[in-house]
Amino acid sequence: MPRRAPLPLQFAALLAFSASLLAFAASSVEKFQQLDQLLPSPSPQRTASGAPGAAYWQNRADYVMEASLDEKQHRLTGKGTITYHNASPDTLTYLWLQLDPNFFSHDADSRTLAKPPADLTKFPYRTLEEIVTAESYSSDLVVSDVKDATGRALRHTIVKTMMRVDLPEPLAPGAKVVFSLAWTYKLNPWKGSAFRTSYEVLDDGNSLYVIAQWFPRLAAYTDYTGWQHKQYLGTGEFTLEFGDYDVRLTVPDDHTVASTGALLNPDAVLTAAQRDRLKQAETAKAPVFIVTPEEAKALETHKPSGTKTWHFRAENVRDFAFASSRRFIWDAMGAAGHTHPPTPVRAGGVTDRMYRAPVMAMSFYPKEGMPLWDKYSTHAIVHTLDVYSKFSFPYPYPVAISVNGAVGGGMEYPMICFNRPRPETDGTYPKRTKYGLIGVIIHEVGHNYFPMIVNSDERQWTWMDEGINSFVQMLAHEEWEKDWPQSRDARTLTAYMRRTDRVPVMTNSESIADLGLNSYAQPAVALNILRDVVLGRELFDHAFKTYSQRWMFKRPTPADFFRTMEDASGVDLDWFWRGWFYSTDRVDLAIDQVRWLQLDSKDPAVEKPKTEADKKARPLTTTRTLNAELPKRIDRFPELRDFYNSHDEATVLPSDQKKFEALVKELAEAKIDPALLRTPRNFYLIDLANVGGIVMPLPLRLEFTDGSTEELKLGAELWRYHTGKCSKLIMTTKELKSVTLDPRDELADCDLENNFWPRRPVKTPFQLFRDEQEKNPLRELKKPAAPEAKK
Amino acid sequence: MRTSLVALVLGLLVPAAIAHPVHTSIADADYNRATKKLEVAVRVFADDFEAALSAVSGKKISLERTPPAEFDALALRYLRERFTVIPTGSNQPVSLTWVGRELKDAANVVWLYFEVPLPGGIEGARLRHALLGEVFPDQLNSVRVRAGTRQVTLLFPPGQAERAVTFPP
Repeated sequence: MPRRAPLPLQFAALLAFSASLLAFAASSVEKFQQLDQLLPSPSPQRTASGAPGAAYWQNRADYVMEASLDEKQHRLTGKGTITYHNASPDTLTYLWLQLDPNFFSHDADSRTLAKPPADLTKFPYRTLEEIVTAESYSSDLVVSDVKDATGRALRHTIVKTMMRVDLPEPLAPGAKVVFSLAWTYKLNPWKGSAFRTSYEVLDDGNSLYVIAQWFPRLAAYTDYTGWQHKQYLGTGEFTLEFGDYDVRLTVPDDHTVASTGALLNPDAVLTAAQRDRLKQAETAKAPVFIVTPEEAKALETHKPSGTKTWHFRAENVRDFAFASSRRFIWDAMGAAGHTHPPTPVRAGGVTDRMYRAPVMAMSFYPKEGMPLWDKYSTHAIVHTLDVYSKFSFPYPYPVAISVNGAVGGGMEYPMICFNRPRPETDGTYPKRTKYGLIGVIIHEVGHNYFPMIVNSDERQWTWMDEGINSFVQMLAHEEWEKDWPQSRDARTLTAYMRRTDRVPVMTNSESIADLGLNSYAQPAVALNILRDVVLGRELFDHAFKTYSQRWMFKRPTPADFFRTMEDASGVDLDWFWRGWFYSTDRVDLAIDQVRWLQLDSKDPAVEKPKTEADKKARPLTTTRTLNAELPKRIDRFPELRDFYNSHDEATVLPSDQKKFEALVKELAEAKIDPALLRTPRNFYLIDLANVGGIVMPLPLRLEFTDGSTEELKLGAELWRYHTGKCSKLIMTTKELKSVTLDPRDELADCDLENNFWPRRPVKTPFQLFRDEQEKNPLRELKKPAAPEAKK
Repeated sequence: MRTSLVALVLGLLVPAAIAHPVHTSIADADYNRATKKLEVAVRVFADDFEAALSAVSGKKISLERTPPAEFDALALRYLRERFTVIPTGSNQPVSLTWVGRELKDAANVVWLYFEVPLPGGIEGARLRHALLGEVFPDQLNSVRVRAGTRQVTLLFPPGQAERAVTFPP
């Protein structure tokens, strides 16, 4: 408990107090400064409010392609015509295309620049497999027949995973160019080169293909970076232009194909029964098998008699991926409340009578995926559409697909994603596989919104798709079941935030070693704190939806996100972005001290006895206690006593009284009620420190001696004069017992011990575990034996 | 000189999540002045840890199916090999003692608890933390070491398994 100190009331004293605050304030406001020079200047393309500007433009690429899958050679061969629309104000003399299959060429940067294993005397079988595969497998991509619309050959130069096509005539602003090309490459095997795509040879020898980043794709040309021709090193996934795709995929005639886009020729590739089931599934309340497990099983030993061509069309997508196998089981369900095209919301609930097909949620998996996939995958897709659409915009595509394939964990493409988890071979699965699967499907289907539709640049900023998507994924988990085991939250993030070697979230994708924490967890936790602690749900949700809708089918940069969130919420958040996205600071707020102050009433009749009482209330020292018993001389010689021996220090002297009366008079002249001096309140000054660097709001819980509590939420603006120290004055009739900063432990505060006044030790995970261990035997001994569980 | 190169055989690996693999562990190591022991809690991904134990034991080790006593013995053996503490002024690692483990299954996390007797204190001691590095070349381990009010977070990136404990002033 602090000692009470009288609060000086004289105006001069009060002024001196605030002046001293200002004096040390000037030294450190840097963490509260506006982002100014860190943000690009607003432009006619991107406004200062974070919206696309009047002169916003983006280029476009439309594709008409044919591809065939050779199952014996695991080879893909394709040709296509690309129409490139130059909406930019610039004249282009060449185009850049991404050749991602070159990721697996012998001399690819991904291989030659790979980090060697840390411990060369002992390293994983998988790494050995990769090194050996790198010797035997090369994608051997061959690009040929690069021609313009008139059949003239176009000069082109391959630069690793990029290709430059030189245009015979400069492409003027507003003009388009049509060119065609052909290509072929060996697909990458799951063993030794599984990445975002692969073919997996299942136990019975059949293959399962998940194919993406498989054709020469037009690189993005943007107002902020020109051509996005960063090499594909593996981490920065991709960024492309929107366009329409017309794709014919020729595969063995017993394969089932899952793909981006709507199937245009069901009559040619599906049986009548399958088409009926699809129709049924549109309004079904549970997933319906389109290809049943029995039908898929019957194909296990089947030999194809030829090929079939599946024809798909996808509009306004930034990429195109597909999967193919005779082993696929296929289930589908119409996503209730989601139509294609989306049903417009009209005032008064009136709508037109146009037929809009339900968005189909569909899952494709081999029998190895059961019993998990048939139970959860399609439901997880529909759940994702429900939650994500609520926070952003209606899902604009006809299908949303999840495919079980041999990829790292999960990988996203427009309308379709590939997800890895499977049950054990005996058909059981641990809890983590179940939550891992549902979580990864929500995550990958969620990527349809960010970055497939809100088209951020993955080769630049991983957090813009992974972080924002992980944040919405957490919201979707919360609506799947109560107490979903969130693996990314403020409390688990602290172990990462405490590290001093981190790089800012704003770092380029390829230079972030610990992406899972830096680009997924940190921004996701930051946005959740922004939503629930800083802005509140109403302001945040409006701002977030504004961002999503402003940039739907457009290409936002980080500044557009930061600016929109401020513009639409009406709250200056520069300090927040600065701390969480641009710095490597951490959150560590502390209560330095709490001072207890009471008003000095200046009335000697009140103050003098109080001062005396305080003096008397002080404890006696040992010396004085022991000496008290000693005989005293003035007791033996009473004549030695005088006035001072009996004078009460609390006595009000006439001069005291006169001084007080003068003050009361002075106050009256200044029209100040002298009763103010006797305000019966306690004043507490809570001194706070920002140890970790990130400026944050200050949620405080005050506990009083009468047992009552009060919660305060002080805005981060309290730090605006000095981002290292600030104080809060509390006036109360009660007596303060304790103060807790961040009482719900939700700010990712890296050191909780300094969050308590008075200080309170915080148990370590080790101590908590040990306490629990120590308690358990006792509890078990005292408890009557539990009856045998019935099997 | 030729160093022998050992490839570790693994069971089926299910990587944790999403398009970018995540291989990290975190730990709290608190020096208890009363007992003169370092109390350590390490949080690893459950599937990663199973993969590591499977590799060293040459058979599939599972948190659900391997008998607890066998699992714990393997875990302790593994920890002793890959997490060592060398006290100040010594060259000999101290043998750690097993306290227990706790599975947070749905979150795919297992906590490992153990103690390291250090009568001479923690400051200046060297920590070697090579957990899971042999299974995942990109494994990033970190430990927050605390003694009273002093603390430091040490990072063990690939290839740097050893760090001395020094507290910032």
